[in-house]
Amino acid sequence: MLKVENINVYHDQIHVLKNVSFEVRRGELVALLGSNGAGKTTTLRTLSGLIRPRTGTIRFLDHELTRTPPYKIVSLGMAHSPEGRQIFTQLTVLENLLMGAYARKKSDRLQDDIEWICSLFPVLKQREKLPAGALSGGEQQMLAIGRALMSKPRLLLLDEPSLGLAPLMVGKIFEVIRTLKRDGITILLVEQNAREALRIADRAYVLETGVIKLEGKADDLIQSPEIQKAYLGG
Amino acid sequence: MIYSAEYWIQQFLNGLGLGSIYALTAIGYTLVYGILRLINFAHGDLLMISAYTAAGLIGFYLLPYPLAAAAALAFAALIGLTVERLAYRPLRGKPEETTLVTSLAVSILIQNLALMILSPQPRAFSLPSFFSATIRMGSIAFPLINIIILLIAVILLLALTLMIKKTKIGIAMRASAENLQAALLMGVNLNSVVRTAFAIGSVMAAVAGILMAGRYGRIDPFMGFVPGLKAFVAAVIGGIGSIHGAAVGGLILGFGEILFVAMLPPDLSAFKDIFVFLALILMLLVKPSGLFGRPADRRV
Repeated sequence: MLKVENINVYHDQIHVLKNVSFEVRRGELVALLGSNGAGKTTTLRTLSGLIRPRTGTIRFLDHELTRTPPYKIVSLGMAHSPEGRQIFTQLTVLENLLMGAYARKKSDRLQDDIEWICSLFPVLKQREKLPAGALSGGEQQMLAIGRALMSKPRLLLLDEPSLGLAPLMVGKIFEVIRTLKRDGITILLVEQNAREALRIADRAYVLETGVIKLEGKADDLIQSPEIQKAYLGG
Repeated sequence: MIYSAEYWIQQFLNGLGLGSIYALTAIGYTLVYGILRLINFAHGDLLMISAYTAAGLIGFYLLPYPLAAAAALAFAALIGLTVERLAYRPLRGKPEETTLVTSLAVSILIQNLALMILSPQPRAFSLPSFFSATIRMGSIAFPLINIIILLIAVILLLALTLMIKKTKIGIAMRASAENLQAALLMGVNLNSVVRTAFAIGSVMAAVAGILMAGRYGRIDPFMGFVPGLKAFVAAVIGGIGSIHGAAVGGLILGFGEILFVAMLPPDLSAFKDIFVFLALILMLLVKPSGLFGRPADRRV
């Protein structure tokens, strides 16, 4: 579904991603792990077209993305729930969800999908008319994921959905991600919380200072001494 | 000095008329700034372009007023969009000072082109006699034009508010103004949002230009510059990026300017702009983000 080959990305003069290659197959949940500053968010932003790689290719469903504007990438079926949630705080919860469906055709059945999102996150239904800025951190994360789902994506990019949330909320968010995977949505999950991520992922890549250091099945990686030492605290 | 009640009512109506013109013009600054963080100093010159277009179509081609006005609005929108495409879009993502200086250059360019093509001589401009009627209520007499200007401004601002609140592109404009990057991730085509903002702002300025020309009865190539600057001040006082702020800021400036003139001896009235810019400085000292402004947010 998604095949990234040898991309090199720079911020000004800094070489952030070095020959990064990976792929996500249909129906998979792939985790992209790594510590702060490893280049995880940059990778997702490059996929969405917010940053352009200097070299390399990104193939998504038979389209080359490195020259495609962000809004077209969304309509091809890639949705991105960004780092730090970035919901529209001054828009209502409902308007945020409508923005998520921006790239879709008018005649689509929006109402059904709003119902679907609200069944995943019932709290959003209660808060529908509130400005999104009034939500708690966990609710904002739910809204960010719900908003991304409103585009009916074939590939969902999730950037650190557990960041800054209380443990109970982290559990809930991962539960939903598991549900989405079961529903057949292909997911690329960026996380610092390696333990939780490896528990639900099929495969994972480990990014270290812009280089893919490790890759493999999630079950194998969870056993690997390197991962144990660097990311799982022991 | 003590003036009669009639005098103050007339000044009040003058303030409403002038304030509405500033408010309409301020919309363009605030919409564009909200999305692009671009201060488009060439915006004020659209007042002049639309007034001259209307005057020319009426004077030379003898078009009926409504047709000439509609054509003037369309032409101003076309110029606004063309400037965006040619001067600002290539600079997108560059620092704010770059685009600011560019917009000043565009403004001076437009004014000098107008000088060249249209001559520096002011020309007479008159709206249909209906507009210049004087209304008498008892001992109070006032020109109808101020009421008409206010009505048009209120209708346009309500229509804009409705559009921003309810339509898909309106919601996208609000979303883009708050967080452009997130809006892009939703599939918003930045160019279409920017074009919408420029088109709406230009049309509003064009309306203001014709109304202002009708109010003063004359036009000249520089007529848009100072009002444009004041409308920008109005947008800042109201909180740039906020539509309500632009409307309220415009009215505050209009009233303030008229009252300043009304209360001072006539030989000081030439210095009315002191009020405008003093108000700006005070506002920025007390509340830098303006009346309805929000603190800075995340940008691409």
